[in-house]
Amino acid sequence: MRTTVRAGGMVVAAAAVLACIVVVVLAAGILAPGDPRAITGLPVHSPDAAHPLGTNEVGQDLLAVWLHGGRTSLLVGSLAALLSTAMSASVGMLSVTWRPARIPLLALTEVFLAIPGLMILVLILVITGPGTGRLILALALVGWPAFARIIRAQTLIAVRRDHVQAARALGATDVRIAWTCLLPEIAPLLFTKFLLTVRWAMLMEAALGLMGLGDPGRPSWGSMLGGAFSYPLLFLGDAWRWWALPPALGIAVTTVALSALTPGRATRAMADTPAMSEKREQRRQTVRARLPFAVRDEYSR
Amino acid sequence: MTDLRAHVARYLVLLAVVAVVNFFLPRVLPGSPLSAAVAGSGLPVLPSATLDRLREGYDLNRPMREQFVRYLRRLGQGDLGRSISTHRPVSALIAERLPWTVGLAGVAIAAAALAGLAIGTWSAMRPGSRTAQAAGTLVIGLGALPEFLIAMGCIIVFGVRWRLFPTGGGMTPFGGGGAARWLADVAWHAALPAVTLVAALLPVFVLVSRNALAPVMDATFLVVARAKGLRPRRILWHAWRNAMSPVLTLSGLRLATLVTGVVVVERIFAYPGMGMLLVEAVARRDYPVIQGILLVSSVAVLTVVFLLELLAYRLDPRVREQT
Amino acid sequence: MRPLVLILALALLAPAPGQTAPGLTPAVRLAWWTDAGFLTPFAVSILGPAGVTRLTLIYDTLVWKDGRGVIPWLAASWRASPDGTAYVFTLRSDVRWHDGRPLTARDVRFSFEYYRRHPFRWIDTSMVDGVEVRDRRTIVIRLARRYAPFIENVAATVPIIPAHVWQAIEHPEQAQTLAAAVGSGPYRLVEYRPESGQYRLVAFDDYFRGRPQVREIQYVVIPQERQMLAVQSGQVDAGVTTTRDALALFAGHPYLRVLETEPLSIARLVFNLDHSLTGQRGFRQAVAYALDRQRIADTATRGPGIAGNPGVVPPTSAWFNPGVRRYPYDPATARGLLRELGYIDRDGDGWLEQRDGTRLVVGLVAGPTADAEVIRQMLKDVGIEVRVRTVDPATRAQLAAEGRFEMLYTTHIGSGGDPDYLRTWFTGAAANEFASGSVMRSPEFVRLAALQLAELDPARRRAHVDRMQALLSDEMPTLTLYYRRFFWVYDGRKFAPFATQGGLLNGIPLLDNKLAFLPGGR
Repeated sequence: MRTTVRAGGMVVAAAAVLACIVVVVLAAGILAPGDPRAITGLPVHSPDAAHPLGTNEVGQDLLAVWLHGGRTSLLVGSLAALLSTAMSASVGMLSVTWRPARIPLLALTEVFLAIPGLMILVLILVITGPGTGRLILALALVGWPAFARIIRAQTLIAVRRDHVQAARALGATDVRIAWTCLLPEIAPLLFTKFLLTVRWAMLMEAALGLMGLGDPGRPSWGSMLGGAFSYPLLFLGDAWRWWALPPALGIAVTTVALSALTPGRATRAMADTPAMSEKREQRRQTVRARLPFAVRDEYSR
Repeated sequence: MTDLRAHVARYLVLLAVVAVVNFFLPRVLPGSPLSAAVAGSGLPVLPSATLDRLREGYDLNRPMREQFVRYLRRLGQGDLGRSISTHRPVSALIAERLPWTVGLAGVAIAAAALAGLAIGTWSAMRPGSRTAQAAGTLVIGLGALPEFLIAMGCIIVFGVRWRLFPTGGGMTPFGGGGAARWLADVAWHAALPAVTLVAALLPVFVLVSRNALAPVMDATFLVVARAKGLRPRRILWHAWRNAMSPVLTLSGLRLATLVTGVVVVERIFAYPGMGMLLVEAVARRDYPVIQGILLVSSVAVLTVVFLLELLAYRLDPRVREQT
Repeated sequence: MRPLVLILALALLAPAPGQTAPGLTPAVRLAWWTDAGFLTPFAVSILGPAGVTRLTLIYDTLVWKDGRGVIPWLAASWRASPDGTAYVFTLRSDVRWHDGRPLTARDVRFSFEYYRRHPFRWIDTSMVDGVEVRDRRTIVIRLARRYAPFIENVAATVPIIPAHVWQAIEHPEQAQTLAAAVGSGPYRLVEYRPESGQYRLVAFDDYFRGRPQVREIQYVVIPQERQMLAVQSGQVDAGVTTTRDALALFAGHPYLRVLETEPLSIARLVFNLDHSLTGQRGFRQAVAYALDRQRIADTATRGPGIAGNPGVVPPTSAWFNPGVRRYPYDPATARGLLRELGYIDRDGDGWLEQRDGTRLVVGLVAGPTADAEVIRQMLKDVGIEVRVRTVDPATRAQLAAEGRFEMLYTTHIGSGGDPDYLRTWFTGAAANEFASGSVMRSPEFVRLAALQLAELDPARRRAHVDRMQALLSDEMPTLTLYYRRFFWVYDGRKFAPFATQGGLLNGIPLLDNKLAFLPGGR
């Protein structure tokens, strides 16, 4: 049982770290009051008393940018994850419960999977122009298909269960069955998907910011990194330490903590002994049977 | 066999959809090859003759419907057209870039698969061991880092501080020398991007191989095997055969998606791969090139998925029951 | 594994034992951030100035430019006809193509005739009406109309191509083999790798100006933000940045030197004259007063910058008119102008409102630039809310062409050399929809633009150009924010680059002028 305790310890530690980060960035308004975009110093200035992390290419205080930027990054991550989890769940369940939608939904899922995700993101942002709201929608749009397949597989098993069959025999409506019988079955899966997607969306936000596709109107860790990396002398002096490292660490610590929190995949895979309950074994087999996309995307989105 | 036929038909339909989507996707982008030429030139205006020439040379003055028909006709002949910005055949552009990406991604995936299998086996054989868990946690933690951060770390430490490896490019420019030297040079340049990719890929492979091995290690038939006096190595071999299928599946899929999926790594290391080609083509609104790359990468994904499903269908009776 | 790789790596790093005579440099390696296409006038990439610049190492032009101005090149001498519609060039007799054949007047005629069918895409040559061969060494170029900057803008920029290579080629943009890249210039193209953007240009020893001292020029691709690192570590022999802090960083370096180019890159705001808000001259002038252009310049170039001249022409240019309206930074005047237009802070929230009580909001289309944020904050100080829309360059050009913007931020090159750019940029003279969106409607400006073009007398032409700058500063279709120099960090042991007067090909701030690689230097 020691393993479970250890795993539990890790989860607690990760949760604590995550909570700290959330509290700090939520308190950005108190810790760094005023507009983080205000120009308060000379451009690209090393840290001093007034600017503990120095200033960026415009002369904005990097500490304020970091604090407010973290808020944007977490917001993008969680909202995009919420939306795409909702989409995955609806498509996954609808494709089982609503017969006429099955083929179109499955086809849609496959087309979305066949076109590379990051490219769709870049295209969407080039078309619409960068913006936090648009980024969240775009991430949600790209992030749903993979788990939709897994959820569909899970739902397929769930509908065959005795109590669902019984409910149907008793005349329960599809909606009621979906809400009361199927949703609880897939809830743990949705939670996993949510955490994975928060992490994925934060990484995507950072990658896009690095490519210069960040929201110009709102600082984020990604666009902070992007700004640092377009500074030609970043690595010639110590600028990378106070300009690039803080957002990099922010992203790294948050995503590692999120991974550690993610149930079923990371922690359980490490902590579990091979003796699995019959139920879990059955689920695994189903997931593996739907292997191609399932495996690929369980971990990436 | 009707099932198989339906299967093939389904993928053909998907391919057709992708081919159509690929035509319209780049054209939905705001701007055009002409506006990209003006903006990209660095000049505020370009001579009218230049723009007229581009319009005529690449059908841009024809109605969209006509362009679409021409695109389909060319595609039917296996012709991907010519790049608007470089006037070279799209197939040549892709042929130049694909080996770099496939090589880099292929090596990284192979390394990640082998290492993942090794670590997975090792930890599956020691279910209760603390070291196994610690190693596992470390790998997962590493994999939780975004690849651009790993890349950044590699550049700072190995490229800038210690100057052990080049921080960009696919090979020493104009290196010359024999095949062995060329290969060493390419490997030297691929070191940092490959390490980055391996670090990002490793955890998945560890998890998958461990998950595939763990139940087998404990399964009754191994108990029986052990009881029968089979040597441990032989037992491991049985277990591996079981784990091989998901690891291979994962490798194939990763390779297919990495055709354009390594764009971040390619950008950071200025690697001459497909991802960078696509990014450049989007900036230039080079319609034929965007079409060509999207087509190649989607076909790669669909083909691999198709083959894997076919394989799974053949090998695993459970799948057949479900469909 | 690693030691082996390391040994191999070190072996590769060691310089090959080169045998070069004293005073000669075996190779110079230069960097740019993109590929530049195949190096013929028809296939070269016009996405950026790198391609057409490299072309000048392989091909020659009738005349050329050094650090002070126009000098003879293929043409030993030239004169304009009295009415200015014809130019007579006398060619040197000792010029050979890379394949050994002599370059004659026929090749010059062929070049201009071929460009009529297959344009040299960087430069407008449509004013050339016909070319006539007088004898083996003499040609007459006839113009359809008088074109004052012909020598600087055409004779010094259009590459002369060999008739025997191109006469049979119908699709010149597709001819991308080394056999097609035959020129008369000091270097021959011997290797091109399109996937990695690598070029090798080897010295042409029979060059009429003498054996090039730099025996080989190599080009590689290095991302813009990585160039200083690459120069410092010796990966390349020259790299570029646009910020002044490079000067301090490399001051006192044992062999790395910094070359400052003329301020040929220009950052400006374009106003949409058809929009109800930015169509008001008072509003445009208020914006000019509200922006502290000096501070924008200092921030962007990280050091004392060159603030924008409302007359567009850079103050370092010989054509600069110091007498235009200046618009010194003065928020109070800006507020006064806005008040006259009826933009007043009616509810005391710090933002100006229009007559109907809605807030005064102006859109700004820009690329991912820090300048947009500085502009936003400066205009906020006078109560104008700026909504920045970040787009990629191709989108920006499209929005400009369609007039779907209010203010638009753009940076570009081309403000060097002959001031005819005032005509091509602001009268839509290039006659295409991508004339950056701002075209002067003033009939007087259009009249002056035509006059200066046809005026061969320098003093009178100068008066027209002065007046055009004054009109631009009054009408303010565009507000020049600042000018940028390029700072080239280069290895002083290998070559001695210099800043070409007015930039290469009239306005390109690159350092690869072929004179820097030839005996006698600049």
